[in-house]
Amino acid sequence: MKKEEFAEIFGNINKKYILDAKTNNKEKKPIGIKWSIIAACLCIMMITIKTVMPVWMHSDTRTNDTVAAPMITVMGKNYFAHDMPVDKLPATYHYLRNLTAEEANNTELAGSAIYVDPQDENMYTIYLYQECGTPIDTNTVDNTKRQWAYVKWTASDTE
Amino acid sequence: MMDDAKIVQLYWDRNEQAISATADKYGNYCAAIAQNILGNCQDAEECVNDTYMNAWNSMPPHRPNILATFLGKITRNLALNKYKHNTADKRSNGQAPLVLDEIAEFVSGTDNVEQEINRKELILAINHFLKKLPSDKRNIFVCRYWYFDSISDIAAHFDMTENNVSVTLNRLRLKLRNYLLERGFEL
Repeated sequence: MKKEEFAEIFGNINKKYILDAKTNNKEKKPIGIKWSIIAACLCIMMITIKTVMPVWMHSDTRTNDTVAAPMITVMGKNYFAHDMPVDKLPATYHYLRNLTAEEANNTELAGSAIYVDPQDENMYTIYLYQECGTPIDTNTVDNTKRQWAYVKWTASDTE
Repeated sequence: MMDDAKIVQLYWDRNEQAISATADKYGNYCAAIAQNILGNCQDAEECVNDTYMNAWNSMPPHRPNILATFLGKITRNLALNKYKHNTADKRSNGQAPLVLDEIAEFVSGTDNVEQEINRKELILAINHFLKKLPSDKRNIFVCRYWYFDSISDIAAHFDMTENNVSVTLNRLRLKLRNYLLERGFEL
């Protein structure tokens, strides 16, 4: 059999598997040693930033309040994350591609998977599967407790 | 945006709005498949437009229950045909040559009329193989060999390293080859 013929035959597999491959949420992996180490490193980094940076900048810790909100730029639109991270991606969103370094705007989110709603043709909202803090109540995120979750990003011109 | 049943009904009513409704809802989905295979925006766009035309010509008599896979399959077939046509004079930039080279590892590459394989039985066997796989492995396999997704995209989507994805696909190809051989499919 020729490879092209097999590829063509493979095109007829069960529709469910075709749909599942793009719509299934990632299975949550148990938090292992690797993630514990990463979490510990992040904690150390956070503490270092909070304690050392103000000294370097000759200012107090209130400086952090003036730091601009992280922004990403996808297809010419600027996006900000205002909502709490969620574990489940809304069913209408589908994987598009990964965020490029340029689009990530130094947010360290490059490589995160972008999910879009095909019905939202202007892409007013997108989701990123990214590392983020953990919600501790309806309005607060504990950034020292790192996790992987879906974060909604909203285009700035819709605000 | 319109639901699938309404879009299909537009085709059955021979209402040309069916095309724009399809483009709105599934244009990006089809374009991604064509782009993966062909790696060329212009060819991919042509494939997507041909997909709408094919859908128009096949509904009726068809009334697909899952419009996404119905359209995706048309796009995939059209893009593979275009790839075959393109490779006659130039090398594709898409994933098709890489994916097909991986498939070549477990097929003979010859047209042997004597061992005419029953396609329906082969599809059933592949489906059975896929059914037995853990869902994450099945999804990786389908992303690569149905959607022609790149290794890097799969790695990012499934939160794996590229090396891990390649190793997983290698093992799954070998597993599929053995599974089919055991069932008498000499590919």
